[in-house]
Amino acid sequence: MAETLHVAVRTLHVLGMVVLLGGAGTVWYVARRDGRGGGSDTASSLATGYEWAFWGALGVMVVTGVGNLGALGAPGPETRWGTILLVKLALVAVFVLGSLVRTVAIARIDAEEGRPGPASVPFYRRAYGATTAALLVLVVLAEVLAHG
Amino acid sequence: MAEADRRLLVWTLASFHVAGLTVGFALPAYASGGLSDVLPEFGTVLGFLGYAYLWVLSFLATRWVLTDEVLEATLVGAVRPVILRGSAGGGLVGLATLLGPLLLLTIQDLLSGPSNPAGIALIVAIGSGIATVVGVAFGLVFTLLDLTAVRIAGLVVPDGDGPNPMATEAAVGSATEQTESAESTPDSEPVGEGE
Repeated sequence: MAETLHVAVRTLHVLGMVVLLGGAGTVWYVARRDGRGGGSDTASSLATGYEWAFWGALGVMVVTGVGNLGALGAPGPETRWGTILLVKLALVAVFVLGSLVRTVAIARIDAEEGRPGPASVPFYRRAYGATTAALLVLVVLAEVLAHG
Repeated sequence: MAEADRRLLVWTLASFHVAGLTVGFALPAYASGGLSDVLPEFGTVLGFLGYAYLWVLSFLATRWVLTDEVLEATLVGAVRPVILRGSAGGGLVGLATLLGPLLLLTIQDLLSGPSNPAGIALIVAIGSGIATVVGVAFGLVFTLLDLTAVRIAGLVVPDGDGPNPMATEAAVGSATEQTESAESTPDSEPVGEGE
């Protein structure tokens, strides 16, 4: 029973990252494509949908991440593993704060009357490019923690 | 701000508050070596339920704090209404965070007639005061973080995408009146108090 629960928690953790990273990469790609065509409709609607999914998935990531720590019986902070985990947690904290700014910015763009104009496309590219890059770093750190 | 965007902000801020609180506790707790001892005792299911309970409280409080009036006032630069309401919301979350689990733990005793009603009342009274004060402090901290994010977002959002509804005369006028009213009467009640 406990083993099944831990597998379910780890599965949710991985699926949460699929949503976060896959979604950010998709919005970034579409914003790049839209930029070349001069429009922004698809990127805008994708970005808004992604922000809803992002905060739901982030909650799942945080609670399953802490659950994993408890289930694994994590080594102490003085070990190499512990140092990497501390770096990862610090990055997560910065990432969460940065994501708050990104979502508020998207909400402000959405609040503008009419559809968002082409001026928003570079912002989408930068914001979701940075989000994708940060998430890739976190995935690499997670792999190091899981497999050494 | 359009209703859809207000709902996105409520969803975002409520999720941010709980996730931020959890990471904010986990980081120093792990660095000090305490987390590795506590987590295995806590249990996965209890942890999930606790997180969900906090999220629901955070969502309800954020929705209460972020009315259309408070949001529009905040977006045009007024900070007092959202700080007062955000701190009060934090206090309510702190109180409910204590009382919910306490009620669950004592419900059987309460239903069968409490063996020590005075003792329970004293614990509830002292605990409620402490929980409310701690909640107000956290509410204030998170409100300031939210305000900082709003300010930074205002700087990074590109101009030239069309008129901004928050900058229309009606919105600015309404929010300015609210700000002036709040700031000219320092002893006035917090926005929405008594609801």
